[in-house]
Parts: sequence; C-alpha cells; structure tokens
Amino acid sequence: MIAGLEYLLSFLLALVIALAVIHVGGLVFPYLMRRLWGFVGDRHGPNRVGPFGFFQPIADGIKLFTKEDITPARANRWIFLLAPAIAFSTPLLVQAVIPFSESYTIADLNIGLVYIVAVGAFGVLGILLAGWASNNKYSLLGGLRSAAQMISYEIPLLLTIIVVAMLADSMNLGDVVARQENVWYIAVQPLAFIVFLVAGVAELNRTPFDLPEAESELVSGYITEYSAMRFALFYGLVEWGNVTVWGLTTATLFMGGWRGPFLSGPQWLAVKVILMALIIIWFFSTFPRLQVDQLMAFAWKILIPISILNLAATGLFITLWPDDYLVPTAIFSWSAVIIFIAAFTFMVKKILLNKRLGMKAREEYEPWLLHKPPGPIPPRRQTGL
Amino acid sequence: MNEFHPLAFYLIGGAVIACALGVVIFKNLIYSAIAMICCFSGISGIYVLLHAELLAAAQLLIYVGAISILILFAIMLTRHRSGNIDIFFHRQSWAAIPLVLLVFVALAITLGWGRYQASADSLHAGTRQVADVLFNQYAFPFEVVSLVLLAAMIGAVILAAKERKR
Repeated sequence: MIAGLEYLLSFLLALVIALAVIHVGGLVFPYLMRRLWGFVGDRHGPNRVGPFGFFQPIADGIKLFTKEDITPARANRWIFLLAPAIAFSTPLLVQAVIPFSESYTIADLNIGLVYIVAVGAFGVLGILLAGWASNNKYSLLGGLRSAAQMISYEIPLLLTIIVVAMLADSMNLGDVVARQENVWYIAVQPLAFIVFLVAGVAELNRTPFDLPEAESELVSGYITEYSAMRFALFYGLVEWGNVTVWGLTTATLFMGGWRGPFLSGPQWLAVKVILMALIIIWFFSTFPRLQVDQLMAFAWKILIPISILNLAATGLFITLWPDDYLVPTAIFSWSAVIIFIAAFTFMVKKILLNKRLGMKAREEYEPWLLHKPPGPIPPRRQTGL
Repeated sequence: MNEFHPLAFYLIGGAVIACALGVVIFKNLIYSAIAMICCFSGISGIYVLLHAELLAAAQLLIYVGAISILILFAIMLTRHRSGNIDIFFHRQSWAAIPLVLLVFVALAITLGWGRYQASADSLHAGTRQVADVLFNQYAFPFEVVSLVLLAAMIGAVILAAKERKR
C-alpha cells in the first residue's frame, strides 16, 4: 500500500513537472517571440504591461480566459472539444523520457528515441481532427496540409535520430547523454543536427514551414474556429509547448543534455531550450514562407537523400573504425556541411542574380508588372495539397 | 509495481474491447477511426505491461502514427460532407453474429487448452535481441520483404501519377 502511494505521488510529481515545463514555455516564448520580432522589425512589441512588458502573457491569459468560448454550430462538438486535448498529449508525453538531471528521468525507457517519435503521432492526430471537426474549409485544408507535412518531415527526423542512436550505441536517452560526456554530437555530426533542426521546424509548423496556418490563404488553418481559452491551448500551450519539448529533445540528442559546468542539470537544459527557441524565433522573423510544392520537394528531394547519405556514411565509419569512429564521422560531417552550404549559397545567389530567370517568371505570372497588355491569365501551377 | 498489473491489464483490456466494439458500431466513419486509434493505443499499453517496450513503441509509431492517419486522410479527402453518412455494409450483421461467436469459441479453445513454447519472458526481448534475430537469422526474408514494400510503393506512385495526367 505504501509502495502504491509512493508510486502515485511520483506519478503526480512527474505530471506537475511536465505541465509546468509546458506552461512556462507557453507563457515565456510567445512573449519573447513578440519582443524579438518587434526588435527585428524595428517596432516596440509588447512593452506596456509590467517592466519590459513582461506581464503581457499573463494579461493575455486572463483575457483569453474571460472571452466567450465558441463552438461553431455545425462543428462536430465532441471531436472539436477533444482535438486540443489529443494534441496536448504530445508535449506532455515526450517529457517522460527526457533526462532532466543525472538522477531524474520520469521513465528511463530503453527505447526512448523510438518513443519520442512514436508519441509525436498524437500531435498530428489532434491537428487533423481539429481541422476536420471545425467544419470549415480553411480548417480542413490546414489540418490536412499539416498532417501531410508532419508525416513527410518525420522521415528525415527519424533517419537523423537513427544516426544519433548509432553514435551512442544505445536508444536510451540517459545513455545518449552519458556518451556525450567528452564531445557533444553537434560537433561530431553537424549535418545530422542541421537536418534535425530543419525537419524539426517543419514538424512544429513554424516559419518557414508554417503553411498549415498560412494566414494569407488559410486564415489561421486548423485553429481558425477555435476561440478563447481553447485557442490559447492550441496556439500557446500546444505549439510553444512543442517548441519547448523539441528544444529539450535537441539539447539531449545533440548538445549534451543536462551536462555543463557550474549550473545544475535543469538549468543547463533551460539554457539550451531557450537557445533553440531563439533559433526558431530568428527563423520566424527573417524567412519568408515556402510554397506547398517547394515544401514537399524540399523534404523528399533534399532532406531525405542527405539524411540517407549521412546514415550510410556514419554506418560505414562505425564499421571501419569501431573504436574511434567519432573523428572520421566528424570530418565527413563537417566537410559535407561546408559543401552543402557552399552549393546552396551558390544556387541561391545564381537564382537571385539571374535576371533572365526572374524576368521570365514575372512574364509568366505578372505580365501587368512589365507594362505589357495583359493577355489571358496563365493557368496556375499545379501544387497538390 | 507488480501489484498494479492485473488492475491495469483489466482496465486497458476493457477499454480495448469497448473501442473495438465502437469501431464496428459507430455510424460515423470518423468516430470509428478514432475508436480504432484508441484500440491500437490500448494494445500498445498492454505491450508495455508485458515489458515489450519496443513492440509498444512500434505499435504506436506504425498503427497510430502512420496507418490511422492515412485512414483519416482518406476519409477526409473522399467525403464531401462531414457528419453522418449512410453505412451500406451494416446489413450483414445477422451473419456476423454467428461467425463472430464461432471465432470466439475457436480462440477460447486455443488459448485455454493450447500449449505454447513462448512465454512472457520471451516477449521481454530488448532491441538488441530483436535486431539480432531480424538482421542475422532472418536477414534474407527481411530483405525480400523490404523489396516487396519498395515495389508496392513504386507501384502506388505510378498509379497515382497516371491518375493525375488526365
């Protein structure tokens, strides 16, 4: 009986910690994003409530709590109410396997890496159901887009996670952190880190991959019909909770998890999570949004080949030099990163500077801008979903 | 926490049976799909109770993460209207009842009086053992299966591409 009580208490403690992490992320990161976004755009951002506008998220929370919670009349009520809860389970469940410090992991699973990807399925499910249940074409399209995107980008994500498992020779996250005692995997496998970063940003539906909520075409995507606290749950807690949890995962896989000098484990994790959130905010405020066909092409034609190549190369090095595979892997990965960045810069520069290509594109799509008599409107390019 | 296992098992097992019933009883396809997802998740929970964590994660990853979402996708893209739809395959329920009873009796006899080599301990296998069996002992069948899957995938792409050209 005492053991049962202890079990129940540790379960409740774990739940409280996981919820606290999500709520702190959901409160702090939107504020940080709006401030920094304002800074990038040479505006003030929220600066009225409290010092530096720091109480803005609390004011927003109170506002959203007191607003009317609307369920559209023709919506499927039960699924509409259930969908945010399903989506919320992903950030909650992922935290179960993250080692917060040397001794504290909620559930020290041997297959932690597989588990993280597996529970990600609930996030897709929640978004898909939210889109469908709203009975709104924008919501439905947003939900479907989001699901297609998340399934596509899950493949490179999984392939890079396998690379980490190969390097650490374990799928237990505690072991992954332990193996990074001397060198972080971001230094050994920067290529895998970059693929993980890009695919992760796409999984989180963040700019430049935020097509599911592209406001210019889909209003707000799958959250269009959600209002008041349910909107806050989706937009603030689920999305930014996912960012937080994704930051935790990245920190654990590539940046040595809770390890670090001077500060304690959770503090180091917080520093690393804030770093990852800052990268996302930086993406958010600088990159334009991709088109749907570009999005899919990028996943299938660039990210997946790169990650398969990386996987094969890492496997080869581990087979050839079973004792010290870190050095050849690092050499390969760094040179691959440099080559890819150089090639990418070259390509982008060529496309941007190629006046002929630019003019041709304009001629095709916006003939009126070139002072030509407008001909028949050209058919739009087929873009799939 | 061994003392909790029977309770957890009966809870999860009951939920799985209820969800499985829901899959065939609901008249709304989306409700059926959700019940199916709950059923799959519950089965993965039973795997966890048996300490087969890899199997549980694979169950979630493949059935909830891929197959169910594919099914939901298909339903959402092919139905124009949300809400209730006519179910035309509900007419055979009179034939289904004796058939299901027959299957139940057969299963009950097999499970109740059959003898098995496998025990709960053999399910306890970790990733290393699974990988060892899969990539050493059964490496050839594994490769054949992956080839078949690849062929199926290419076939699907070709069929879909033909459809779009018209």
